[in-house]
Amino acid sequence: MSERTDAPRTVDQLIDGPLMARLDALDVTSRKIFQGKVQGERRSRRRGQSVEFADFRPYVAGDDLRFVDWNIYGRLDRLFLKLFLEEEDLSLVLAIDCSGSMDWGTPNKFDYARRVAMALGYVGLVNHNRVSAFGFGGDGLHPLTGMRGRRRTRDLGQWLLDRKAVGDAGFDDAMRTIALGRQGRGVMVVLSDFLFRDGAEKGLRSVAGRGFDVYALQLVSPEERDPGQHGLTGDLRFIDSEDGTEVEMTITSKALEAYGRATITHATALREFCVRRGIVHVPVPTTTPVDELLLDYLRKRGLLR
Amino acid sequence: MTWLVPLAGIILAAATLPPLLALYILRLRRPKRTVASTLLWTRQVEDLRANSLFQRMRMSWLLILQALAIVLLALALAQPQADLGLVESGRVVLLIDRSASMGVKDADGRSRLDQAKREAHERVDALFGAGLFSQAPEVMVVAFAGEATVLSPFSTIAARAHDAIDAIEATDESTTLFDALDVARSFMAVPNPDKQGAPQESGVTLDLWSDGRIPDLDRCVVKPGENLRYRPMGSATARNAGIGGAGVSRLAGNPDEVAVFARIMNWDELPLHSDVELWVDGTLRAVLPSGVDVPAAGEDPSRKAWLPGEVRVSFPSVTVKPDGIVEVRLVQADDQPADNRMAMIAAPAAAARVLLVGASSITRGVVQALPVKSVDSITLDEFSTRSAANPAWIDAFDVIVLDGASPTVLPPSRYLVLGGIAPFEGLNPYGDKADVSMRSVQATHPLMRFVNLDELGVSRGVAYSPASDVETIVEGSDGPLVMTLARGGGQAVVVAFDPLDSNWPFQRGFVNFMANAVEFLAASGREAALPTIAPGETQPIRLGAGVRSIELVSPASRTREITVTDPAQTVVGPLRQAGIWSVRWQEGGEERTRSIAVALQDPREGRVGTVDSLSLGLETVRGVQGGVTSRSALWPWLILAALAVLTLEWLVYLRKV
Repeated sequence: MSERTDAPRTVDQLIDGPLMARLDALDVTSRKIFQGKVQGERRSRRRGQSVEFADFRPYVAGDDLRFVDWNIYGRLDRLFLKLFLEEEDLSLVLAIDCSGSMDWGTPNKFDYARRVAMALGYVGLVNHNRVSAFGFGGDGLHPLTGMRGRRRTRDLGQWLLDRKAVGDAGFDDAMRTIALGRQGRGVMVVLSDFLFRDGAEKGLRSVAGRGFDVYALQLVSPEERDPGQHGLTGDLRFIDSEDGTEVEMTITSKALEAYGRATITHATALREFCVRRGIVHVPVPTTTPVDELLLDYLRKRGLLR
Repeated sequence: MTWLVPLAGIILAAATLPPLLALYILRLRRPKRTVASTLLWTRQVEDLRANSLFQRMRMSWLLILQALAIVLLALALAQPQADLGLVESGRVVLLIDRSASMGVKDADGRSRLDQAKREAHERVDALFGAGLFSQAPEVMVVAFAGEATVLSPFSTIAARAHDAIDAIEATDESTTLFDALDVARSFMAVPNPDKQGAPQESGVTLDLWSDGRIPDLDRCVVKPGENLRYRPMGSATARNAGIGGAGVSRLAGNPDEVAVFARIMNWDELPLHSDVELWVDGTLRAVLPSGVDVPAAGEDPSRKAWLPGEVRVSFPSVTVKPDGIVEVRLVQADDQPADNRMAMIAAPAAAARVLLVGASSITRGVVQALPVKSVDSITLDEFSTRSAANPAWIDAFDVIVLDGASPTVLPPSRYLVLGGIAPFEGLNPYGDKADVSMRSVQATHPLMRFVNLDELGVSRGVAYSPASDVETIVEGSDGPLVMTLARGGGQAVVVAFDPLDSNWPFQRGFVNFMANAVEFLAASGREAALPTIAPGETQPIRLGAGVRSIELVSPASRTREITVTDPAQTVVGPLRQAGIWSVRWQEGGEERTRSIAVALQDPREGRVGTVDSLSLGLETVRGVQGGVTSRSALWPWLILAALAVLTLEWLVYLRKV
């Protein structure tokens, strides 16, 4: 793939000032309240060591005896623990697909993914959340972890600019690695086209239910949505951008219809899997403006508030 | 099934089918296009090809239809022919009868000749296979009627045979097959220069289209190596009646009037009743009051011949001017209209050639003053000597004037006897008479036109006691003075006295009488009509010097200009259609016209029922009904099928794309 002229080359091209200003009012949220390493700025639904009482639960062996409510023991002769709402920080994990298939389409899916990641990361950083970014692709898994605070914005941007979309995604391994190396609970946003030969189920299964509130943002370029409208017709030899596989096709109206059914089937299967696993699946056409995506779509789906 | 050019089909199939299959088997050279992932394409799209040199052959309607179209085209190019049982090779002679009987229109309304031409066209198509590369036999086309004409010699070009068949025109001639076979055999004997060294042709097929009414069949034989196939045309039940003959004769009393007679013949098995009309110069002049009843035809057991019913009719005298057209018409709807009319041309008046025998100076002077062609004068002795030596000698003269001569023998001719004793039977001279005066006269007789005998005085004459068949024109006081009689095909006018023995030469009536007598006798010696020729004959025309071209107008009013090379020896014809032909030309600043009557006069063409078999020598050839097409070309159907398949393939392709 030759170097594109419209690819972002500076952090400012990933996220501009007006967008940053509009994002300053947002914060990352979760349908769950996560436990963090340090007490954060938000109330977690996890009972912890705060002053605000939350609930009681029966004592089990191993519980900290300091939280036993001895008053109740005196009245009921049974041991109960006092549970308190704990203030936690949020861990935001951005998983960016850097496979070859992302570097395709107009607008480019990879560029779009980086801009969205930059925006989300900026929201997380300005709200003092713990932000981690992982790029997975043909050249392996590239992590950038432990970022917190607005000052790490440029680090995140530069890290995104350094990413290249090449080769196979290695999605399963990447997700498993991210899940194993997680630090606390949080929100994971997967930015990918989910065009994986082995499927996305195994990888998503690795992160779902492991303390992540997962958002799967499926990026779809216009060429993928309707190839017939973008000059794809006749006898062609398709070359897969990831593995170079060549496939000879005769693009007819029937073939386009079949392709359309295949895209719907693929998206439907991914959405149904995500629903079953508690993952939020958001199909994102790359023609959608980034600010509209963040300020409208993702707010409606609870990722931002 | 016969394949005319199997190699062509094989070559086409071998040249096109493998590349077509290769196009489907071998990978197409497709333009490369990078896509994000082939994942979704490979899942659903069925046009996936294995990434190998040869693709797996899969069910493809396009391939099947294209291969089928090529196979059909290859089969068409090989020109398959459905054999229908009459296949031959070598040389084929198409003999087509165009005689009068072939003009009969049978039940389908088409003439037999038209039907024969249509079948001949089909035959040529069958022989040539109607293909571009066919190897057809050599075909010759011969039309025959009164004579045979080779319209196309042996040729391997179908168009030439078709053109020759189209050029055949109907005639009203009689039929002679012998000439046709003879001329065809003469061409068969000529080796084909294109086939020098090739094996000799094994035989020849003679396809004969005719109604079988061929009078000279007994002269014809089928020779070894010849395969005669007779294709009868028409119906065996065709009916015909016609005019077998007609004639005119001048009436003795008036040279301008003619009597017309005709012979009506009926070849049908049923009696015939019909009207008969007489037309003069295109005007109906007479109709037989109650028509004619013609008896039925029948077989004559003794002669084993079919004899037509026959009746003779005659019309009352009619006035016809010279060169007038006299036509007898039989008003009878039958299958052969050509013989229902017969026309004749009235002979033009001609100056007489007069021979004077022993004539006096007065007689010679009078005759020489008449509008005669020639006047010769000899003595009685010379006349007797030359007549005895050659009686036909006197045929060179129209009128012979015996002036006071009494020959002992008179050959039949036309005589004007003045005074002498003529040796005619029935005159019965018995002596002399003197001082005779005129007692009565037939003033209306042509001899007496403008003749007044009131002042006639005869001093001496011959006394006759004529028989009853001798017509007395002028009766004298002592027997007949002027008589006329017919004897031995001749005619005579006898004046019973020498004009020099009377005062007649001094009267104006004598000159008029001499003129009347010469004209009367000359007219009786000439035919009342010009000869009517048979169809197919020629007619000499005497033209004036300087005539360079003439126009020949057929009975159907078709005009043809003929360049004259020798005006003195111009011949028109052959005139093949019955009716009145006209010849027009410019001579001396005037338009001259000569009519020629052509009539079907051969009674052998009268019977028009088709014969189902021919007897040629010892061999009987049975007619082949139908089955002209020996081979039916299948390539047009294959081409149509290929087009249909290609259309279907196109539709399939459109649905697929």
